[in-house]
Amino acid sequence: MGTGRADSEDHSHGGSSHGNFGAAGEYSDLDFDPHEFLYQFNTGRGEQENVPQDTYEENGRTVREFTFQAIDTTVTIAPGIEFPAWAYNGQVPGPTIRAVEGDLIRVKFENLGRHAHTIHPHLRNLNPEMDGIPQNGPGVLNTGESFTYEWIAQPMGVHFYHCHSLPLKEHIHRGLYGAIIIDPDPERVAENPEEYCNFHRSQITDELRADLVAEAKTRNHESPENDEVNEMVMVMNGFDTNFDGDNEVYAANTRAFAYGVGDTDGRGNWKAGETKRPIQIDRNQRQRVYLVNAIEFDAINSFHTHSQFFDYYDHGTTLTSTLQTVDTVMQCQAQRGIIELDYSNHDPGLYMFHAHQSEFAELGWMSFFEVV
Amino acid sequence: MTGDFRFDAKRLTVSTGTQVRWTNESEVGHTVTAYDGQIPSEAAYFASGEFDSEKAARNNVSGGLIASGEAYEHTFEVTGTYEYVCIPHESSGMTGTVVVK
Ligand SMILES: [Cu+2]
Ligand SMILES: [Cu+2]
Repeated sequence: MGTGRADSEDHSHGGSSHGNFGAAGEYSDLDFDPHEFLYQFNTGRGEQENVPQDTYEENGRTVREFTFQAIDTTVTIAPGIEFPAWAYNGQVPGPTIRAVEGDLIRVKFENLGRHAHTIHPHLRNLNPEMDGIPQNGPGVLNTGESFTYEWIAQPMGVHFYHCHSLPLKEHIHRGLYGAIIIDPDPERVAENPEEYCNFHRSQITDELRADLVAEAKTRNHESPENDEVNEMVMVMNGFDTNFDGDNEVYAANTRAFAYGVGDTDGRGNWKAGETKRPIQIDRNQRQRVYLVNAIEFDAINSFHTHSQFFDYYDHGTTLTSTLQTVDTVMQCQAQRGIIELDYSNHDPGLYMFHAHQSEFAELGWMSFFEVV
Repeated sequence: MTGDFRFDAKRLTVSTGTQVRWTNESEVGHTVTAYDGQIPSEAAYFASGEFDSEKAARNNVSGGLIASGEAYEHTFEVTGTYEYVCIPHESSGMTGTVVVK
């Protein structure tokens, strides 16, 4: 196993030792597929078998109901390297929840693991009992205990959920976290446009209002305009495999180099592997990344694109970008945002993206888009 | 299955045709779930909840739970080594082995 070191033992032949970093070998444990995870949005319609779910109307609201169970499970973080995780529904990151603003998210949580856990959502939550912390509501849930959390889906954006048991550091880095995506309601955007941009109500022109509504439709999974966008979830994380309070393996979506290449000679040639392969994207399609930073121990994480600049929407809570034309953003833990990418002018081929902490990149958080 | 999240005995050797019985002597639920590919190839898959694969068992953890005081039984017909796990406590070390001679 050679995470983060040059694969070649012979340094006299230049090319390979300097051009080829990454974990050797392919993943053999296929229980979790980071390529599938990118596109798994649970809206209550049964998108994932390991996430019992339902959607129905109740008191004039759409309810999206999910069953979450915390278990102590083993996850593979690099070929041949397993990590003793604590996980919601057996996966790290936990299942992505998706709802439309104003919906009710109902999570029937049962803790089957050995340690006490909660689910704390980063949402605008009006009932303190539902905050998922030790000091409120049901507090921590011991092995075998259950509680049903109810959260109003607000505000629009990309959000974070995680266990809030103590010690927090350990409960987060063991794997109890995931993403919640709240889509805008285009009708609400038309009525309250000033809540979705950095302009005062008096500054909203008809044109701006129409632009905001159009943008909202691209974000709402129930609108046909959303089908035109290729949307991906990336949760940046790390793993402290020897429990020394520092991460040894980094990734977007748990598996080191899973969006890398299978093989390269370091001379510009590469091959896709079975499990380690670039994310293929259609250059004519708009690309959107829901980016969340779950990293523990390191103060910040980052996302950097090669040969590409993007617009960034911090927390995803606005429909006008908060950063324009950047190729790097950083996030502290729990920070998240939406990245909008356009490759329509790029030639087909391989475009790298990674954390611009070189250490993180060399220890796993290094990826590629293959533009086709 | 004992109160400190382990199988007792962790490794058990029996002869063919033996019925093994796991009794949950703890206060919390556990599963007995064979690892796919870590049982003899001719042997039938086994799991509490009567799932036919590890994946099916993992997709329905509750369905495999043996409640406190209850038991699960399986008869081993084929010689070889069988590795199994308690799904909700895997990374807490709750795994076991049955060797059939
Ligand atoms: Cu916890
Ligand atoms: Cu157990």
